Amino acid sequence: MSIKISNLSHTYSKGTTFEKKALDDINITIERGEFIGLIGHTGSGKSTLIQHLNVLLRPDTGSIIIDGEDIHADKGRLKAIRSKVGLVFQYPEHQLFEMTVFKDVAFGPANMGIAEDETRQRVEDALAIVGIPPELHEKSPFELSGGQKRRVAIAGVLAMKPEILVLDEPTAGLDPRGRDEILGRIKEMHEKLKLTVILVSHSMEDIARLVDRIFVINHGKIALFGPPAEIFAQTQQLETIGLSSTQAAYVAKHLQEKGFKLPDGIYTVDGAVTEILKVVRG
Amino acid sequence: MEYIVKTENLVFEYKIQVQTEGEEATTETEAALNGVDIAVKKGEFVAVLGHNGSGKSTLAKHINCLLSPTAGTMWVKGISVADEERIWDIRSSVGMVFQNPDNQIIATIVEEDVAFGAENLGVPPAEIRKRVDEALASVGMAQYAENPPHFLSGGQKQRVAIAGILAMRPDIIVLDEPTAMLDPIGRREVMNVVKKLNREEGITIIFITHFMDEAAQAERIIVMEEGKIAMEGTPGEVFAQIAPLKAIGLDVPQVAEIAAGLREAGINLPQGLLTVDALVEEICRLR
Amino acid sequence: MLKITIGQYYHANSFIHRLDARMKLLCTIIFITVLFFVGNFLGYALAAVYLAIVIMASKVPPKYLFRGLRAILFIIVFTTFLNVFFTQGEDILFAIGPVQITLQGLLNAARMATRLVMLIVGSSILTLTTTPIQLTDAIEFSLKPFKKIGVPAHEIAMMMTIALRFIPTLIEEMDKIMKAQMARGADFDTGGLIKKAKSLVPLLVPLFISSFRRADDLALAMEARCYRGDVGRTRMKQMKLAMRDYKALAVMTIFVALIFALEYLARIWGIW
Repeated sequence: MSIKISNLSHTYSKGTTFEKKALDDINITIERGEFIGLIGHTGSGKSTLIQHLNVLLRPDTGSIIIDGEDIHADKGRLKAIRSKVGLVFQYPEHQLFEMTVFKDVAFGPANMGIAEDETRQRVEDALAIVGIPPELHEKSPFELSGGQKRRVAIAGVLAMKPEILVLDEPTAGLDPRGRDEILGRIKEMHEKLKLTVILVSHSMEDIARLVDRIFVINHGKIALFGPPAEIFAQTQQLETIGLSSTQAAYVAKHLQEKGFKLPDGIYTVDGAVTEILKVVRG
Repeated sequence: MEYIVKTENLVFEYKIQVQTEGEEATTETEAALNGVDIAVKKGEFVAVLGHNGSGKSTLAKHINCLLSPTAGTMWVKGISVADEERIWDIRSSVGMVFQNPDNQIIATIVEEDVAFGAENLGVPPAEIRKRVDEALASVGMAQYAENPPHFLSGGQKQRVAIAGILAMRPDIIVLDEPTAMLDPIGRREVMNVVKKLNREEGITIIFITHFMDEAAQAERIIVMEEGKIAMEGTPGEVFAQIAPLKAIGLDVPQVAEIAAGLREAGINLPQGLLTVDALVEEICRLR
Repeated sequence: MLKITIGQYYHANSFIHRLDARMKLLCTIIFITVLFFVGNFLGYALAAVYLAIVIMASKVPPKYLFRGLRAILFIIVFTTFLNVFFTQGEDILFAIGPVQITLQGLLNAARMATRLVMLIVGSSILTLTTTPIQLTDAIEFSLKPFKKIGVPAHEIAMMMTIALRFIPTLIEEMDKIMKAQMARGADFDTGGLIKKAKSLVPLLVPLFISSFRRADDLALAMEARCYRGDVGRTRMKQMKLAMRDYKALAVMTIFVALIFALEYLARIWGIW
């Protein structure tokens, strides 16, 4: 299974004074089971792109083919596609509305027309993998802590059994502990459920820890793409876009400039420590 | 030594309803602040760290009299917050910036919003006009004076909020996670404005954040945990304690972690390395 | 995204834009009142000419102005329909079964439709040329005399300002929640009335909760900025009547005099 995005373009408010080209000829191929990082600052077009994946927006030109199917071709397949591609919005806890945690997570499967037994199973599985214990299932979602609410909302998407999980800044506004918890759970989903994950973030540190491949989007175009080691080495290009690399990458780069024979592609703390030790100790 | 904000054994308790199944609801008292002693000097830039629920927002709200202590005392500019008659004196000299940029802008035009606080203080119209123009210029938002705020970016909205406070001519600005909802560009904009106001106008800054790279730019860091001060010191001192920081669920800047890793392996590096340049310089010295 | 065109401020620098908001509010109220006294088509023609001059002076493109009318087209058609079919009269033009179309009915319908269109266009000019802030200030000012009898003039104006400030924010938020629920398979488009009403729950509950949270935050932010009602409050922008405001008032007075003169003549001559 793969996602193939070809020549995708999208313009908002076409023909008015507010006209804005949000996506400009995007071409991306993602393989099954990959963990992708999508980076870009606010207004770069990343939110527009992921809304296309869920058929919430339609392309002006171009197409998205998932498993050989053009997802925008047949309106009758809308529900099937939306359950295949799970989309978790920014601050997903703002969409909670049901009386209990359980009912809220069951909303998606119920909309899909899934039978009650199966829904129950799915909800329990989804809540288990995001780490919400059974004693909270009958509580009101509004009584939970911020991090818990967010995990319940993510479970609401997981209960639809998606094959592809897209998360828009899932750690925004959380403290380091809440962030680590969520990122740990996402990693687990990727490994245990064999999900293809697309993580949208502007936290380089988050991305560096998790992903196989990175796409950097700027002004509606793919500006850079490749494995983290390659992307984080391009400190200058990242800075022109208004982003920055990890501090570890900067340390390595500055040391290289001072004549240290460090290998390319250092971007984590551990990597930096190991390589610097090698050089310093000769 | 003159302290602009000082607390002595500050305690803040609130009541919560506890409902266990099959039993009647009972009220329990929880302490958000449990004996906090801080002292902030005039013109200082203090960062407050701590995870959600550690009491840092509660502490911030006391400085502006939005909450009043259950026990203990707090003085702002030498005025006790318990002195109800002088609440407005305190509020007019302490400005607050909150987390959500959308929920603190009141007016439909940027300059009207910036004027709001000064209008509440009863400043004469001509003087407000002057202050608003100065405040907008000082946060770099003068060209947006007549725009509606909802077209601005998050970082710009926060700068408008800061301008609104500047127009009230405060001595202290308390910022409660002002960058939590912003992207890297917005975070940098806010941080630069805050540093400039501290440096050039001598405004005392109390900056609450989850981002360690921001805290590293302060003169002093206070770490809170369970309503108490857990650590206190210069960024160099605080970030040297990697294990205790991680134990309470906080981050350490990567540079400090790299330095610690190298030190652990027996490399001789000084304490207090927090910036890329400082670390690189020290490693160069090893050659 | 949802679009509201009625009454949005249109930025331009015209004579009408520069007028004091209080004067514009006063003139609009007079104009609307006068519309309901006029019963003859000469009067309507004069009112139309007057409106056309004001529109030209305001520099608001007529296209922009009339686009707002589309939203209330249904109401105009509906009232016209009611007037045509349900006005009793003597001069029956033709009848379909029990329904009679009378001359009086047609005339009434035409009068009502003309009034409605002019009323909407007239008040649109006010909101198109006046920033929401100026308008609320003007309303606060005009409610001041009623303060003595307990009308909270300042509070009403502050409420209007905050409402105007948060409309775009809430529309954006609604759009976001709607999309989030659609991503979970929610369907807002199909089904009968009851199903549609039910499908709004996942939209409205989060919207209410977020509005309460915003209100809470905003109240705190206002308190932190020393807000305590209009006690000791000053305003940056002072309202001042200028020469042009008196000119506008003079034009308005002449218009009113003309309208009443025409109305008087029309009654004597028996014009419709």
